[in-house]
Amino acid sequence: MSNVQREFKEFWTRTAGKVRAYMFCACENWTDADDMAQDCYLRALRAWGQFDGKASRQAWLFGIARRTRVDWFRRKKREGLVVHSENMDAFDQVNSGGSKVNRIEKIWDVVKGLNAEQSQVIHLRFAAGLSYAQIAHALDVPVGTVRSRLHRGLKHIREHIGDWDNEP
Amino acid sequence: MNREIIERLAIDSAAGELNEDAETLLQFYLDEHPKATQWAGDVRQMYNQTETAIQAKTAYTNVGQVVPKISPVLRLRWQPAARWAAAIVFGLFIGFTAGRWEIPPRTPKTLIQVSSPTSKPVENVSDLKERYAGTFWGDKMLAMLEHPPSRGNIADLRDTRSWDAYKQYRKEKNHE
Repeated sequence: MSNVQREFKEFWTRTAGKVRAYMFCACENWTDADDMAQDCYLRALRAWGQFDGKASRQAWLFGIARRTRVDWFRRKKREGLVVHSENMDAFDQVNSGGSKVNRIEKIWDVVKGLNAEQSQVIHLRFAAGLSYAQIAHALDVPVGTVRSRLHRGLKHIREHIGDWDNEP
Repeated sequence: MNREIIERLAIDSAAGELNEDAETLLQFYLDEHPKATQWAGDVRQMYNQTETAIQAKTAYTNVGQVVPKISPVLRLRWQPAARWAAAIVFGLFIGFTAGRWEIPPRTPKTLIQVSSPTSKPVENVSDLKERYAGTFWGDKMLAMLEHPPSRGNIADLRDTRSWDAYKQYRKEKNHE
């Protein structure tokens, strides 16, 4: 195994969980999430030598992941397929028990309803655990923009959750 | 500071993106402004709940390490392989077609009849002398019969024209 392959394998081991989580946020389907993650890593492997070192490898990887996600959405749109959620039942069974699950579902639904810019930031922050600087590099926007989008997204979530909480 | 700024700072604080000095200053401000503390608390709670919700929904990812279905390094690069396979199939097709439709050697429309001599062998030259002696062509014929050309001479002739002899042989062979 060459040095690049060893380095890539170590990198993959460290980041695969985050990439899959990020992909799952887009499609809510682990099969598609795995396909997207694999596509993302193939692209990363091909471009491994082109990494310029301006940001961390992880931020660079999530830039590729974001483009992979966009391509996946375009392809699905062309094919006319509807994104479905196959693991929701399993999730509910694992987390059986009342209001906490309801609240999680509510927040998840609200995040899905955010515009693409805000949801990208939320996914990269909470699913992938990236810092502001890493998100900024992945989305190719300034850090201040990341901060604003995160703030507006959370505000939007709070407003909607608050409305639900006030319902009888 | 207005609510907007407090909420932004609270989010940055929850995200761990404030430096130490800014964090300290924010804490001093919140200690002195209960209303701001409540705003910051609300937004921090929302931040934590969102984080919990998204991590819970994507929790399957972190259960062990999932091995990719195909290792990226070992994945077959099928496009070059497919090109080679297509080239080989195309070559085989061309070869087969050329062999299948090759025109066989044509048979000449007019057959060359190679006849063997039908005349009976001459048994008695003296009988012929009585009949043909005295005429021009008769003398010639009788002279040839009495003194036929030697076999050795014919063999020499054939050796000098072996290629023509071979062609003649093949021609006769083909028409047998």
